[in-house]
Amino acid sequence: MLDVKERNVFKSIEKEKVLNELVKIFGKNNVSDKSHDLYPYSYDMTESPRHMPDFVVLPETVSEIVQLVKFCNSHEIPIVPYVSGNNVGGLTIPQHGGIMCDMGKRMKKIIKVHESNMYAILEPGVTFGQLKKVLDENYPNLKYGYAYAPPYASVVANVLLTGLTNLSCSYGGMADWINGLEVILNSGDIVRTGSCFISKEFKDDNWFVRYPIPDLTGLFVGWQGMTGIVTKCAVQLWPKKEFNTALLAIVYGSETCAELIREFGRTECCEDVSAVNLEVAKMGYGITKPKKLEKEPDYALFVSISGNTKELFDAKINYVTKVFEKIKERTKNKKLLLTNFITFAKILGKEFSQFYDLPGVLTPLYDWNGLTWVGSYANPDNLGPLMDKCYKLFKEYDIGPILYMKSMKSSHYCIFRPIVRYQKYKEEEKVKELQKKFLEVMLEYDCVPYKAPIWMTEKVKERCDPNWVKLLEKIKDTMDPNKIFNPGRWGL
Amino acid sequence: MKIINEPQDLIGLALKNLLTSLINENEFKKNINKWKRVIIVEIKGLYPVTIVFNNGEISIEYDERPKYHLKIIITLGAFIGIAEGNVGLISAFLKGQIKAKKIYRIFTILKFQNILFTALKKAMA
Repeated sequence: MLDVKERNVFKSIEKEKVLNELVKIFGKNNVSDKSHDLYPYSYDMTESPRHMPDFVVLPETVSEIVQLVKFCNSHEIPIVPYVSGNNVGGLTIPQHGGIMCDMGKRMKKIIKVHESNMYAILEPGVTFGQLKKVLDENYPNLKYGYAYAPPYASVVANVLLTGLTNLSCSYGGMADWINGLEVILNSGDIVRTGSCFISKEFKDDNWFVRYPIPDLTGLFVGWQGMTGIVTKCAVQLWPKKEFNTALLAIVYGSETCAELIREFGRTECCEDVSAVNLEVAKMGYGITKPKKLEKEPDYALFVSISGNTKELFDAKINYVTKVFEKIKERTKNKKLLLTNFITFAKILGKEFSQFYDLPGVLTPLYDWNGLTWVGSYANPDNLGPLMDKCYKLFKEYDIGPILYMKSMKSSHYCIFRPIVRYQKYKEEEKVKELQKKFLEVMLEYDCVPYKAPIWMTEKVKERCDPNWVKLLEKIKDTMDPNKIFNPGRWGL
Repeated sequence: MKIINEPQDLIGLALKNLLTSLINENEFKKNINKWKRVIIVEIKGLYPVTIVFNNGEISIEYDERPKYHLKIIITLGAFIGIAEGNVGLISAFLKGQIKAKKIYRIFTILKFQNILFTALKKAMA
């Protein structure tokens, strides 16, 4: 095992007594302080600093977590909520040690699918693959959106981290789809946000809307587990449509690609509009460090379209095609091409179905043992220069470029994400430097980082509104005065 | 019977994928075993790729060789249409969706068309 930091956080209680208490709460089979059990929680695929936890617990019930939080709060012991550790931001590495609360093993019930109100109440351990299977088999008229994330990634963790899916062009980020949460506060109190607040007891039939009450849900979204432990989440589901297809635009030039992303999003006909640079498609063939050849196009842009009737479906495709033709004509870019992606993907090879059949492991991302990114919500107007500048940086650092762009909520905003695959432990210093350069470019263009690791939040705080930081700190102090919830994030 | 190089461009990789699916087919082996031809395929708006059939060995090269036996320029729409089974060779020629240089090499066209159509059909299955 590599050398991993440890520190003593047990000021007011001996470590052995902590172990005894945890065994009392969870049972001895669901608690460990053995280094071989703890080590997997000490790192992830990113360059984030490693750090060992002191214990891991595998809760099954809300009352167990209530007892844990009360105990930890009285002894100032950190708790890090964890499901599968796929956040690609080092967000669950216990920077101050303490207790990993792994909800991915035993808290994975889909408590309710409310078919007529189109929502599901999920425990934190429910995965994308699990939810898709249950919906496909039992609720064929409903669907959820799926991310370019492995099927074993947690839905609730992605929701709380404001993730994106293949329905985000229509409906925005996953955090927008929350109807309500059940959260354990530092006092051990259980609080429910959204319309489920209306009853004193837990009921599963009134989690249908988030508003018009004060949006307390926001106290837990994007906070990286720093304000409480979410134990239930009601997510909106969407009607599944009968007719579906995907289109592919082949694009020369970043500004044209950026314009297509924006304008396709604005048609309100597309569930998903995403683009990658050409090299990513070649990575699909297992070429680890592909180069773009001179005459090859620069970007591939995917568009998914669905409709309840053939007429509506065809009309959407026609409108998107019309927008495409207009841009082609106006830019005099004869090399722009639009085609059926599903057929094209079959010609390219079986591996390419992973680009539209989600959730799925996008295998090129996992070719090497290191994976990291600077993810951001971006101003749609700035996509073109962001793509150009970050692409150049990739070349400068001799790292295979992966740029991922996505239209969100009819192009009200976009996702911009330079992704770095690298050899962990060998290339970390180079990757850290490159990441910093990416961040500088992205902040120059007013991007808002998401799933931001600690080093990034420190940089962001240097240049953001100081009163925003004050408010952030005030809320954290109020909700977690003993700093037990995932301490260290955002420097708090 | 083998593809002797690793293409580095996307269309070349796609063509390799298509032809690889035929490598063990007897008809394909019979067709190309004693066949020496240089064929250029260009998807209109993209770029040309050279396929060299050399007595059972195939290589796929980025860009076009100056000397060739046949050059086919095909629109992406026709290429996809053929794969989907909606477009036939003759109608595509008549509509100008496929153009050929050295079209007088009719047997080369027919043989290559047979190879390409079979491979596309297989990819769609």
